[in-house]
Amino acid sequence: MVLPDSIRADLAVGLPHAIAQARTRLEQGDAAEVLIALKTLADRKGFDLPIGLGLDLDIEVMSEWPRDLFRRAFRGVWETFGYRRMPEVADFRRHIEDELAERRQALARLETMALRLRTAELREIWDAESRERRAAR
Amino acid sequence: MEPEELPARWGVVRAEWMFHPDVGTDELAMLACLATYLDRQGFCWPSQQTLATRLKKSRPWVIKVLNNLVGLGLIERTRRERRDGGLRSCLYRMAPPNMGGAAATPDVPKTDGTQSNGQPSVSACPERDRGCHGGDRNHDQTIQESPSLKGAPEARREKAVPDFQEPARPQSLARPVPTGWAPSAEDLAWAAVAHPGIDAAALTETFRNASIAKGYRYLDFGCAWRGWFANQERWSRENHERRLTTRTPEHPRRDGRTGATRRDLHSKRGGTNRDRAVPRQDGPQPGLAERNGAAADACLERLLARRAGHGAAGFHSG
Repeated sequence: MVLPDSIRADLAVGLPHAIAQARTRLEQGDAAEVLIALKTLADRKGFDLPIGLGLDLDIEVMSEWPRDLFRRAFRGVWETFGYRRMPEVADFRRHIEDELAERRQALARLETMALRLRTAELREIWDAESRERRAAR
Repeated sequence: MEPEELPARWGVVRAEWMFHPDVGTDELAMLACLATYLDRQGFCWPSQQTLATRLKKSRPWVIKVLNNLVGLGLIERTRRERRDGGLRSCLYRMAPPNMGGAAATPDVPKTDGTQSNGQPSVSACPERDRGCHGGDRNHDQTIQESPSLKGAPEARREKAVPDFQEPARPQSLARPVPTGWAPSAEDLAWAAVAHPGIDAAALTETFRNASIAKGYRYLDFGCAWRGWFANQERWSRENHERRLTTRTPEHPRRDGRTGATRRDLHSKRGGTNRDRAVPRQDGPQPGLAERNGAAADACLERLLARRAGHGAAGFHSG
């Protein structure tokens, strides 16, 4: 399907910007901040932090979340705390699951659209080259 | 359970449960067990672990059967939370009997065939199914209020009432624990002999404060106080077993009971302060912040080292 030139021009300008914005919204948080937050929660609620690799994995996973989402998740756990153990990654993620998925899907959709546009452009180029070769014979 | 700890309480098993098409032996056992815990208003709140222990079953089994009963509408279940957000045992209420009555506790027919409200007794089961006469089916004693042998005068008077008679008394004789309550010399002597490892003074303070804070009411404070000793022993034993089976020494699993004072109580018995590693809301636990700080520092070092290119950094540390 051939897109009108005006739409293609708009996409050429707007799509990279939209992708950059979507990536910004998925930028990783700060591991140190996550660690401080967990330690604060553990101290406040009277739990021991996990030890060793278990803590490392928790921090690594949660620091991959966008900073604002981690803060939202932490606030959710803090506000609705009802645990008999130290909350785990899944307990935090529950508060931001939809938002995190939506952001990731948005980026995936934009990148898919960019790839499809690029594919369409390449096809047009290859078609033009093929027509030129035939005309030259 | 030791024979001397068997409580002298009982419950009413409704015939309608046995006639229910979806009630099998599991459900019937659970209903009967719950019935022994019902208070006069038809409520009870045994923990799942207690039910599992009494029925010699697992907790998953208890949960499954309770879910069945809730689904069948035979019991109502209400979740309860502590002030700190932790979960307490659920509150259960028996559904009203399917005989037109409104009370959760069946209106017990008198021996002349009428109910206490003067109406002719109506039952879901045939008359011949009744295994006992009306006086035997009065359940007018709250289970948490078991009078001891040497308790309050009211309790002693109540003991004198023959079991088969309807005792004429107020709805409840249970009273809140007075602020300055202290165990009698006999109670203290009993504690020194029966539970020498538990600090009676500390437990008394905990008993008094917790009872006042939570509004517990007892017929016999001494008996209730003794019951706390048994609970301390049980919790300590359960924790010990759990630690042996599920914990590594450096990473204890937590449960939700408030245990600071209990830890203090058991400290004289050689138990560690992490026996009941539980959340506290009333202040920092000794050493907790330091432990967490050390763990956080070590974790941060490993993370930074890993990100600096030392891929395996920290993966061998404990």
